[in-house]
Amino acid sequence: MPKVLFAEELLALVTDRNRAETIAGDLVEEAGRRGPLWFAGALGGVALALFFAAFGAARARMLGLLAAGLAVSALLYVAVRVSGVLLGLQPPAVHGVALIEASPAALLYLAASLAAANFLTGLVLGRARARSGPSAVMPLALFWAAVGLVALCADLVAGQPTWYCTLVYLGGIPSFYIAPLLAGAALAARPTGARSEPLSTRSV
Amino acid sequence: MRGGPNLGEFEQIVLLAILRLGKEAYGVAIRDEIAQCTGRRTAPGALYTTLDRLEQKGFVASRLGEPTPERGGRAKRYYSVSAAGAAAVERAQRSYQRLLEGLHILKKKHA
Repeated sequence: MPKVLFAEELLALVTDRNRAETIAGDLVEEAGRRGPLWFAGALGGVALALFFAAFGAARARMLGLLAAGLAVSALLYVAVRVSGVLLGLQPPAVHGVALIEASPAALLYLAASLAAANFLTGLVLGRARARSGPSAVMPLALFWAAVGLVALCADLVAGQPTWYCTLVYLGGIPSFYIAPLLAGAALAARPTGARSEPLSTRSV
Repeated sequence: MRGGPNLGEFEQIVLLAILRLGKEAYGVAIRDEIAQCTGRRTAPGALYTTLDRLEQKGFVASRLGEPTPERGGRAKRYYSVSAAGAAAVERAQRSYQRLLEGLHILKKKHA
């Protein structure tokens, strides 16, 4: 995926598409002088800044969206797991087995279930996005990022970090929660019609 | 507060940069102008949130330009300062002037 498209899709989750397009263009133009590392940092910074600006302006709405997102996510995860059991693709539960001792097939199924449930959550929340402002998926994505960060810090502070927990926090959460969530939302929010008209005006 | 909402320091800087650039004021140019005039590299996120806020307050207006290849085919968003924005900058600068009156700190520096 070209970086301008990636930037536009990510920014479209935190602001309206017209604005996402022009900011993505600015970042790509400046990245020509400053390089890909600057681009990655600037893109993340802009996305977070726009999200937190919107969050500050409507905290109650964002917390409501987070609660709705968690509910949708839990429902879809249960649906994916139950479907797997009914289709005979997995055992009813992996209880009693520590992750480290689980078979590669069980781990793979768990990871795929999580990724699928989060992708579907992204699709559902992406469809329900507001006309402007952050997508309903953003509070949930940042919630998972915060969960991973807090859990990692708690392990480090307690002096008991284990390699598999660290792997889950740093690799599992971004790969199986956040990335599928954002991918689903970006897919759901993609415009189906023609691109916006240039030379349009906005306000005053 | 006299005659309208107050402006923060960075909001004033952004409005002044837009005024200096005239019709060529878009994101990258505004950041470059601020860096050139103040020696301060602003984070892109800070600039775009400030521009959004100024637009909501009615101090700037924006329009879309033509897409260009070096921007991956994306258009520029050009900003211009509205009459209310210009009045707000003037008000803020007059406040600074009044605060400076009688202090002579600028004269001492240049002496």
